[in-house]
Amino acid sequence: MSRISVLFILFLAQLVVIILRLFYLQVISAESLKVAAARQHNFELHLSANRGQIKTSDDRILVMNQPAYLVYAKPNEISDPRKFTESIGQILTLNLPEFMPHLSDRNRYWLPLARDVDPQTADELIDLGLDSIGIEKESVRFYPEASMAAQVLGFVGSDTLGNRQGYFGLEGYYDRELRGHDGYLRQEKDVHGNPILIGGINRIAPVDGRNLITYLDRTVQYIVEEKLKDGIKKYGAKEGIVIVMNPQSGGILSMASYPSYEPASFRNFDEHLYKNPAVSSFYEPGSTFKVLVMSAAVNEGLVKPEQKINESGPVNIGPYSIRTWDNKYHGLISMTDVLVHSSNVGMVYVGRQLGIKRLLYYLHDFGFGDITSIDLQEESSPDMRPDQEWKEIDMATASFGQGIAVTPIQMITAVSAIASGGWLVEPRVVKAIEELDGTMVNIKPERKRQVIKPATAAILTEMMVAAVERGESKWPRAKGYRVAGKTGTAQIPVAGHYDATKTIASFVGFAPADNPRFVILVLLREPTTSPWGSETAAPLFFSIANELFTYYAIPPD
Amino acid sequence: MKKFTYFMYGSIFISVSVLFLIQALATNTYVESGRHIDDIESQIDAYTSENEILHKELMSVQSLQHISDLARVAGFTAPQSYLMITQEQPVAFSLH
Repeated sequence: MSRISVLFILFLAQLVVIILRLFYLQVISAESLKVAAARQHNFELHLSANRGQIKTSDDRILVMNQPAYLVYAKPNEISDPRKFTESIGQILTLNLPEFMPHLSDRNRYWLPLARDVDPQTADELIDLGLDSIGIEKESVRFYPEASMAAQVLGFVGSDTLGNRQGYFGLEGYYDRELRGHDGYLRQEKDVHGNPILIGGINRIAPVDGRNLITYLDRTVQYIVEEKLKDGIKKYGAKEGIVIVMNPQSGGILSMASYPSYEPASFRNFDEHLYKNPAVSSFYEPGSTFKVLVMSAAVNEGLVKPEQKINESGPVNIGPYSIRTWDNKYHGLISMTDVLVHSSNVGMVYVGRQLGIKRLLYYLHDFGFGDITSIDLQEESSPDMRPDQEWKEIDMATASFGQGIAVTPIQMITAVSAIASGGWLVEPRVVKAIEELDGTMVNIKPERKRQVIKPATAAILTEMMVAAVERGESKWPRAKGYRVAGKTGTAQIPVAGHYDATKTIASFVGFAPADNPRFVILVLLREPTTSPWGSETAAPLFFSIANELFTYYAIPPD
Repeated sequence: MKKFTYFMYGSIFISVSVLFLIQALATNTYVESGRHIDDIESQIDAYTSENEILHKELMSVQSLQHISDLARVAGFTAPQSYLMITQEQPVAFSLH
């Protein structure tokens, strides 16, 4: 072979190597090299949108944002992972066995180390001067009033991809309105990492979330929460719920339950506390339900307040015997007295007058068996027994509030219909959404339907006032105010029977009776000082109502 | 006609040269400004964060819980009873 041929083959081989190399660079590695090149002369920044605030009706902030930082490592730039962890370990608490394998991975560019880091800690990390560590600004929720209305507000956590997501309450229900839209910045940078002013720039500005203006009144919420805590302590109850509602608009002025949690540190609390029991827990309403069944019978013209019945003894339905709560019988009593004495026997008479079909019609009309559509994420409703399966004993027990399950929000919404002239309104927490430019989008109160006639509502109001003024117990009522209300004591069903020792004590009522400004439902689970609603929930109701008369400057009648 | 063509070519050449010169000058003048922009943006970020922190602190001291704690320390207590001041009825209403 001549020397020229050898040279030719050598050149050819070199050419093949060059072609193969070019093929590798331009075809096989093209995408990764393109990314690497872009990373060298561009910087990209995720621009987080600020989540909207949640305010009370008196323009006080319940939830806002505070600056926080995401701290991340760049493992591909870490020369000595052990030294790196020693340096930052003095400032951040890291789970080393978990992070060490990832920090040693030289093929990894980004490893999140900690979220929600406060500004001071972030400054200390910057002062370390480590190139292999980065921080990214984000914001975290801050609650000026700490745990106030926690179960109404919900909290912000992360979804499976690590993005911020609202859970439960308003944060969950209005997540789309609150979260806004994140932005993005991509800009050319010089060798020092500074932006090149005349270079290419691609910026999509973030759009902040909208603010929610609620019906909640900060002072009322504070009063209710303090009173509820005191009440639970005083009556030795396991749990307690109080809802205060405006009967005309359906606006929730206050909603409190105890025990509760702190949304800022929700991970430190039991998960069962996350759900708001005022809209998601079921209970048998007991005697508070009597006012609704009575209103149905009065509305149908089947009974009148002064109409008398003979309460001479227990009433028998098949094998069942229905007694009064104290096993005392008053002889001839009026329908008003049926509510005053909370007579189960009297209510069975009313239920029989109504009949199963009409009773079910009113129960559905008052909204039972269906959610109220309140704007809280976790609302649920207990299923009602199918209409065709109702028997006389079911109708009889339902007439005094047993054998039927409701949620506290369903109960107060139904009673609100009596306070608002017969109209069933939709309960709402948010009354307006504040746009970024400050304009308000008002959410109009929704009247669903007229359940009872205004005249019936007026009659029931008087009967409920009588129940308060002539009831079995005397409560610390403010002098000169007419309050309409009804106590309730329901046993708790356990494994197919009622536990005689455990009760749910409640009181529902509204005031002033002639021009109701608020409806209050008080519910205490398993009070230990007394099982009766009249001795536990009722005094708590009046202590709250008395404070509200002063706060709203409502003069005596 | 030929004179006009030369004039047009000349004008285009001069315009292109001047624009090229302006671009070169502008590039050289502003290419270093990125550092200043970066500084300004850092300052804006710092002030924004500081404002947010101050706003947070302001809201904290305005919270009812905080005010209530201060009131308790100062010796204020919740009223045990209320006095309602009502206006007396006009003389013409007192018929007896």
